[in-house]
Amino acid sequence: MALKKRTETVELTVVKKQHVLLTITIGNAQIGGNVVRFNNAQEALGKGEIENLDLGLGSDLIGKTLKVTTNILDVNEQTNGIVVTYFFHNGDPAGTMFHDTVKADGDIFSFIVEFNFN
Amino acid sequence: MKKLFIAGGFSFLFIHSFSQTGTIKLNDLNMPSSPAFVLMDKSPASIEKPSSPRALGLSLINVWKNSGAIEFTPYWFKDRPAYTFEDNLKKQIPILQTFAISAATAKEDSNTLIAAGFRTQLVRIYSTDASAKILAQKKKIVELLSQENPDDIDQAAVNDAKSELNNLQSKVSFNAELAGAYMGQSGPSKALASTKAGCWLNLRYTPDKFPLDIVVLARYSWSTGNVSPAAKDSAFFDYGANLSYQDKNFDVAVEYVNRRDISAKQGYDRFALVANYQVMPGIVAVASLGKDFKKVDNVFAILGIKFGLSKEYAKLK
Repeated sequence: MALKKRTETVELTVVKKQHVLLTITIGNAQIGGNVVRFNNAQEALGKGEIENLDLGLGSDLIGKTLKVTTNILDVNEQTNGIVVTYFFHNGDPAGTMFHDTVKADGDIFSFIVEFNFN
Repeated sequence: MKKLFIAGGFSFLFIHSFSQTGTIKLNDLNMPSSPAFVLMDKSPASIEKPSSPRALGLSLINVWKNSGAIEFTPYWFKDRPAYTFEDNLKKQIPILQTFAISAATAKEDSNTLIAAGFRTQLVRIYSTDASAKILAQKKKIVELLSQENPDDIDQAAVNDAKSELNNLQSKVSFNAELAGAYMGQSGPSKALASTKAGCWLNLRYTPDKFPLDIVVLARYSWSTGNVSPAAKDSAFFDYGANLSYQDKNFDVAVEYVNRRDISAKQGYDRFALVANYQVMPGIVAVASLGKDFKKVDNVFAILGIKFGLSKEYAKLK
């Protein structure tokens, strides 16, 4: 079992008067776990599968950085492709997708993504 | 998943057999995993598994020039961002998702053999109970993976959890699979011509709370080219049942297969039983008995004791 990592940074514009919600989708019939935390926070805001996680009002998010770690296990024998989509309701761009591959079944791919809210 | 103690040291087998072989296989009702290789009657040392059209092109050139084997699933050449694990579990007609193509070339004397085949699942249905177990196992894996520092992931635990997930996913309540293959041959003085083809259809029903598989396998193969008409076609219809049971120290598997040779208008059957009992750690009593398809010399029986030096376990699927 091998572990591969990739770090990314994404700039996001948010709607100030609306709540921003985050949904993370693991594609290719793979399995993934996430940890979501604001950079200056002690505690994680969300862990496990993330669906419609309320990050707060857009105006409160501006200037903050959200760190999302997504660890994906290759459980699909048909493909070693890994794909994850971060969807921010009331964010622009709304969807951010990353693709990659692992070498073999049972390997883990880690995306460490920082979202800067503007 | 069955576990069987490895006899790493000495085995004393008391064999009473009217047949020529003491090897007992319990997979007569299984589909060939790569039909092209089965038709060619070869076991390639390695199989290339290209995951993109570009890699496929390179693999095809390599296989054509140097002999070898490839296997690929076109559906997965493209990423499927919205196709989740749950979607896959609920997919009852996963023809596209499981449509795998296999191809191989091999040299035989001065001839080149070329085979291509496919395999797909027509129907795959998990019972409510089986689905719930798979989703519970998935949840366990998600928890193990939910670490902010990827280096903190307990990889051994993830590996074990994945093995258990594979085990649960293999217990499909109803499964229908189709496979086919085509082989051709070319030589220094002859152009490529087809020589053999075959197809397989497998239906399997596994009740939820009983360790029994009910299986039907239909096989049809035919030869083309310079083959005598009598040897051209063969069609078999197999049906049978597998029964397996396992507890901490005891493991038993039974298989019955009835084979109808449609071309020859004859019927055969086969029965095999394999049992292992761990008397104490390192000592296993084994018993195998059965009857083969042949009309004569078809009974085999093996009784014995295995003394193991290793504490490793082998897993039998």
